[in-house]
Amino acid sequence: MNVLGISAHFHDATAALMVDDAIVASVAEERISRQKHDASLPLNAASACLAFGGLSAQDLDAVVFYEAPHEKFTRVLASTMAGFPRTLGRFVSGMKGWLGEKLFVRNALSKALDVHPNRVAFSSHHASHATHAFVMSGFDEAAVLVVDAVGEWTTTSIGRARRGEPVELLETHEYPDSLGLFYAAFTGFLGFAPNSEECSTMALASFGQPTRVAEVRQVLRLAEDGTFSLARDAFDLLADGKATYTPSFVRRFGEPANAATVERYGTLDALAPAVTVISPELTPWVDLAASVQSVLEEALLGLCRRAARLVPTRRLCLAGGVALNCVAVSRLAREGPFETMFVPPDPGDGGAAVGAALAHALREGRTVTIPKSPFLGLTPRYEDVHAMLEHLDPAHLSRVNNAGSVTCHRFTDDDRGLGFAADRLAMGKIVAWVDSRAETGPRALGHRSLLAHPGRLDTVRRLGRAVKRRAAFRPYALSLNATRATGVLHEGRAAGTLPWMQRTAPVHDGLRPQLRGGVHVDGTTRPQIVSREAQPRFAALLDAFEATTGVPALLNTSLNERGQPLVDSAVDALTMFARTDLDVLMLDTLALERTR
Amino acid sequence: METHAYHLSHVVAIGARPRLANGVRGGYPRGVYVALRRWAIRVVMPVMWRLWPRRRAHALAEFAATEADSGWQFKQAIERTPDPALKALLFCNLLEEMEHSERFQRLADGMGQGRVGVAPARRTSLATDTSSLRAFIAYVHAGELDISHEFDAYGRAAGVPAISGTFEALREDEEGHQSGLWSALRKLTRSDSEARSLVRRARWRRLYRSWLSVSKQLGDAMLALWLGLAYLLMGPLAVWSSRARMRSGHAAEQP
Ligand SMILES: [Fe+2]
Ligand SMILES: [Fe+2]
Ligand SMILES: [Fe+2]
Repeated sequence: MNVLGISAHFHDATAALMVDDAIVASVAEERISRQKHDASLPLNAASACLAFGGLSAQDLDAVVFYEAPHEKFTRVLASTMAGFPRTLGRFVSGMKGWLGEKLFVRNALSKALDVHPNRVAFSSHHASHATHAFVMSGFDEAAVLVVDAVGEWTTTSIGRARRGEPVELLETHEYPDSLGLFYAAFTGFLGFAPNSEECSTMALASFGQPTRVAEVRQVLRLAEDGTFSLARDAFDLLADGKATYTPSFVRRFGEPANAATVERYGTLDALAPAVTVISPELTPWVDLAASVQSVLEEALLGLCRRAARLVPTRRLCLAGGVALNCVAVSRLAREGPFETMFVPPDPGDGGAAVGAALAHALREGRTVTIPKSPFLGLTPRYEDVHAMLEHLDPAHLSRVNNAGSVTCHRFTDDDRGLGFAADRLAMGKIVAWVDSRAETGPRALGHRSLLAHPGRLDTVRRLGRAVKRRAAFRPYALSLNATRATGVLHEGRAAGTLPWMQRTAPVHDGLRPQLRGGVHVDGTTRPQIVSREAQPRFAALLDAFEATTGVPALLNTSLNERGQPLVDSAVDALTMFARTDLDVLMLDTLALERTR
Repeated sequence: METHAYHLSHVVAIGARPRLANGVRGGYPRGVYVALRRWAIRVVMPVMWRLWPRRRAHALAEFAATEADSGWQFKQAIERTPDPALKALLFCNLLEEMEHSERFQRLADGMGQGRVGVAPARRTSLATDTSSLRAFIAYVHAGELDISHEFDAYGRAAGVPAISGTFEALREDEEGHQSGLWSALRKLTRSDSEARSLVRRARWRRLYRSWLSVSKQLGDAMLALWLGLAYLLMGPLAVWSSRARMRSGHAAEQP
């Protein structure tokens, strides 16, 4: 069965292709459109997936949308009308979008892709999430917990999954009780972009103490039985599902962070010594972040226990946007009632496009499969860069500082290319690493990565300042070979079951100085544990780097400029090389090196 | 291992051809449209921007989005042209458009309270296949000419040195783009008359698209009126049941 799964209209719109019952590609629209979190119907991604699979739309048995738009519409309508008559403006601007393609998805997809409307099907939002997580886990049976902002009405669901059957959702929490909206509202209150910069809230939390838990639990009430509810007066439930806070929230927590506070966050440093004195102005903010994080974790633990009571099994699959909170995931792995836990590398709405296709095929009685690794994106067209290099001048490729020259190295032997990269990394250079099919999900996993020597703090600081342009309180991650996991990490064996940066793990004390650049202020890292089977070339690079330096891991962060999605094509990579202070770009058999 | 440094080649030469060299005249309806737009920019916009500074920030953010889209269009064209020199020219334009976008975004953020953004619009490539590459280049060439005129008008009307200066600086880049693209188009068609006729067609296409966007805005305004009316009529009936639904929401067993 050939199925195209589609997610859109909230954030991270994605198209996923199943050919003969096997998922073969999954591409987020943002990677092609170059607009971060692009939510528009992913037509560019859909054509890229079809081209990859060598199919035309006529070969598709179904196009499956990842949620039920009419049900979602009733939620948007109810939440807007509840605010009558203050919501006139919101109603008018919101409905303009809905009366277009958002409500008439069947029509829009059938027209844009040129398939018969009867071939467009729907899967519920949480069933899409749940199916993606379970099928990718490879488990025979499991409990499934989906936690996100909101789908149609459902914000949280617990389900039971068995191999070869559609996932059965047993119970749900409904809008507006939502852990995703809860965390997003505090993210906005702390001065970050809600539904986008939740990772900043999580990073900030590591600097604080959870001293404000009691206050936070007044707006997110947790019951003994694992259920929860939001204080209705504290959250402003916008029609488009983006919760912000109300005046009542401000009465409880004070004025929201202003520009000066956000600037002050800049004084926090993930690379600082473990015992850091936080200034009195910042203490309430970092403590609030720590408290919000802690209450979220308690809520998730409660849900896990509830799931364990409902579904007596030792395995849990966790999905939904909240599953991107890697600190919470590691707490669940450590303290939760399940023996084994699986979180897909793309647990958000991107993965839900994959899940929609899988869920449809399962309903049709098919036996579905999905690759174990997350490299389902597009292959760069290296030839575009090879062709134009002859016609470009160093000035075109050094736009930041207009200094230095660019040297082009071409390798006929891949080992020499790897040796070159390892050598430059050892010298403290910042290396952009582009290799074959892109990773799905928000994390760079060695196919579109920025790499650096984690022990060279000068390099790490330059990376933050001149390439990523990001706040110093946000930590970087480490990539290490599976054979090094227990040597580098506490809980290395457990971390190995979630190898794609889905969780955090403490780094052994003795190794912290040489890995400091990839370790957060609390001594943990978000590890990628590289399997030689899945990524032989990246594993060989790690080997070469260790052979040169004795350091068993590389600092690995996403290859993107601030505010931009992950680099996808070869031209994107060259663009980033030209626009930032990157030292080396490794692209196929080619290395571009900037010398100053 | 082979190692070599780059040399300046004909990319720079293409970019250095004289400005506004295509000699295509605009035609009557287009001329009227362009004059009207310039008048609106010069007379109406300064008043609007002074009355609503938030609008100014938003307009600058929209410029940022438009520039980013131009850059993206160049990227699509890079993948569709087999000619390495043209790829390189388009790549340089892509870099400049990204810089323009960034400059407008910085201005917008500086004007408003914090970051001002416009919601991403769906990207649709103007160059759909290799055969339409020439039409694409002609279309973008025509667009660059319009943009450089418009930037000129905005620069004069902005009234804030930082904004005027930006428009003025970017106008020069846009003029470079339009002359570079004209040379590229002549190279692709190998005939001036064919190139001119492609540009003429592109201008009509642009005019048609402008008309579409104006009529869409009119349609949107009508729709907004109807929606407002529906809200006021429906509201009193729906408000209580909606509030009740928002108060519930606890863990529910699935049927
Ligand atoms: Fe979701
Ligand atoms: Fe521009
Ligand atoms: Fe331009």
